[in-house]
Amino acid sequence: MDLKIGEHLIGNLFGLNVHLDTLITLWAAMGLILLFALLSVIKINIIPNKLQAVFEKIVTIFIGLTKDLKQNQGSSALVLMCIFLLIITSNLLGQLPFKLIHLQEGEFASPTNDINVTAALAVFVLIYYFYKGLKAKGLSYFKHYIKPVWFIAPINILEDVIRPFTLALRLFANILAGEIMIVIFGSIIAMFLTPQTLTNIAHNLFNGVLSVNAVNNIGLFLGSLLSLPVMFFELMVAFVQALVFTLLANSYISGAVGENH
Amino acid sequence: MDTTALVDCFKYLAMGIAIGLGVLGPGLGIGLATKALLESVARQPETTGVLTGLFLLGAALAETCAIYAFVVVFIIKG
Repeated sequence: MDLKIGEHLIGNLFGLNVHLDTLITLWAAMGLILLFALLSVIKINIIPNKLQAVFEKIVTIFIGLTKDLKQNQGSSALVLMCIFLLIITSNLLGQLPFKLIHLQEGEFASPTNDINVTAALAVFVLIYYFYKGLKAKGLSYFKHYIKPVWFIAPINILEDVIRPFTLALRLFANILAGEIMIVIFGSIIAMFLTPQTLTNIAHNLFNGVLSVNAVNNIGLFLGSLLSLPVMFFELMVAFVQALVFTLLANSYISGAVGENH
Repeated sequence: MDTTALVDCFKYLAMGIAIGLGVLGPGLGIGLATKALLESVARQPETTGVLTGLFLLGAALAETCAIYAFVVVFIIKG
């Protein structure tokens, strides 16, 4: 069992060093979203077909989520919806059996297990709520730094640094920890299948009916099933983390736009 | 004992302490959240649907702290 974190297949694209594995899976996620979005709007009816109904429901949910923003509900709702869809698609994409594909370095997994992706999303949220606040209040937006008293300003400024940092790290760490858990649970059995115990089981338990090799293979198969519950848990985590990211972004935006902060 | 073995020794010690202490807080937090959920649901069973969603959100936020510790363990392992 060897675990490697932060190792990616580095390639050169347009003169830039990029993480190819992350890039490919991220583009796959984006492509999937675009495909389904296009399919849903290709024939718009008053009476929606199934796909259109799904997308209308999603948009409605996010407009409802941003109700307390008062101004410009629509734009915030759509931005949040895009973030949510991108994150949940990339999270769920990582649950596919990408480990079967061997790369020289790194491996295909969720694009969100690369901290660069989550950091980019978090910085985008930071810039977006600054933009929203400045648009709603003008330069008096910066007055919230000295509320309620002036000497609390350093803490308020620090908050703007901590917010994107925690946003990025939360998503990244949850997805990465999930993948590590799956690997660990899958390889727990390897600790018990030493040559000594294998010979013992094959000769004493099965009286030599099964060969040592067969016992080893059956043991590995049964042991790898241990990671199944973790995989189902990860499906829930993928959804919850996307939701947490979106809700926190929403609360930051509404905090920046709202009057009493 | 040479230096590398000593460093390894302390590394494993640090990993154990990091995950042990790191899981303590989130464990308590999720426990308290579950307690509050159960009490509220016992009082008002009709709010179960809303509360479960909010509970999952809060539990995920609390659990994240444990996952920070998990990541730190792997950083220590290097």
